[in-house]
Amino acid sequence: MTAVRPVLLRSLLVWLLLELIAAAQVRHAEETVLASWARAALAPVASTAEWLTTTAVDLREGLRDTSRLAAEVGRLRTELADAEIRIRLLEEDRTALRDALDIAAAMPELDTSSVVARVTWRDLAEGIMEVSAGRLDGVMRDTVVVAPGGVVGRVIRISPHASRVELVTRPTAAVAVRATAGGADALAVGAGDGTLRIDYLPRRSELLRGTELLTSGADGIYPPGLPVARVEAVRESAGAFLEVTATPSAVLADARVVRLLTGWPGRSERP
Amino acid sequence: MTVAVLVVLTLVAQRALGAPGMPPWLTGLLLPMVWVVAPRIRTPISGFPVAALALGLGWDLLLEPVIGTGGIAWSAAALAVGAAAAVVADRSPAAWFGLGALGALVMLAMRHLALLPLGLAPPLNALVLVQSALLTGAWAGLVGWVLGLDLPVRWRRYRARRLH
Repeated sequence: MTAVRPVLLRSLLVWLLLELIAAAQVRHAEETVLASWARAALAPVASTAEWLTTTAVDLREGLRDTSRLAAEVGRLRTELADAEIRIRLLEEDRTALRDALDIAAAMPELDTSSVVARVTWRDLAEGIMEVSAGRLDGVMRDTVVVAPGGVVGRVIRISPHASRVELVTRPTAAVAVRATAGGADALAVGAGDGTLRIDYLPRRSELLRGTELLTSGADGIYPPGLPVARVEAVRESAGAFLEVTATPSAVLADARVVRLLTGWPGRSERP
Repeated sequence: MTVAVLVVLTLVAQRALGAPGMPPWLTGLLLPMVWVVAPRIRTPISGFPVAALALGLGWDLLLEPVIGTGGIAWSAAALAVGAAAAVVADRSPAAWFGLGALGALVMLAMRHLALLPLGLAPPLNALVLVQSALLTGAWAGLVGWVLGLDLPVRWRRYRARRLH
């Protein structure tokens, strides 16, 4: 049996070789039978290779589409975030415009002679604010700045498109005021801590907590009649004047829009 | 050398059997089968039958449309005959007949199988197989009977008697 197997194996190999030789001699159509056999034998390999290639291409396209989709999702998310920011800004704009209208409604005589500007930066500790209107908008040094509640301060530095405002709460700021109730003139000076100190108010003045202080116009900068502060505390002192503390009428920390009184007559008369 | 010439003559004779005018059934007689049966009935040979392969290629050269299928068929027939001769102890003309018939059956079947994938296989049925097996077996049996007569020895004896 051991001798038969090699003989059979050798015979099969020889027969296979002879069959291939015979197949190479027979032609069917345009090719030999051997060629058609080779093609038939290679067809599964070719189709598998084609399938693999197609699958690889599809996979690559799929991955590319996925990454493109991910990028698109990222872009849409960014756009959504932008849109949300824009909506928020628009809401702020709307609020700001409403604030501006409130200012105009509160001080109708100033409506035609003022510029509305957005608050771009503020430092309440330093008592400084920056607004988005400058020299090209008609803003000048000492232009009065007001917010819905009342006076904010005055312009101390100007650039073409922005202005720096000194808030009334700054220690170097001073506004001539008059109490609505008593009618006594005084000077509101910034205390540096977000409040104002009311100086030179005679002891005889009848001043209560909550009394509103308006500009008197005596300083030649602020037009008369604008709300400046409300009395917070009144204390008798040893001197001739009361010690009065007041809080600004305008909410300086939240003001988004201010009005710059560029057409205030008092301003135009100044050099 | 003599054997080679005889083999060639057998193949030529086989081709003559298929010549126009000859009875079609005569093509079933495979004359070269004796060159397959003879070596194996005397000494069963192990190993691949190279001589039968050469005989088959010669068969292809003279009788087939392609070269190769005859080599397969005749070597397969030689293997089958060799395997049968190895297990059958009989060396009578009947054994020649049986081995010749077996060789013819295997040769025709393998030839058909070899030609089938090439699209060249002729129609094959049981009648053709039986006819060829009987004719080839008879031819091999005849050769075996003649060889069994040991004619050279008889001829020498006859000449010796005449001399006396």
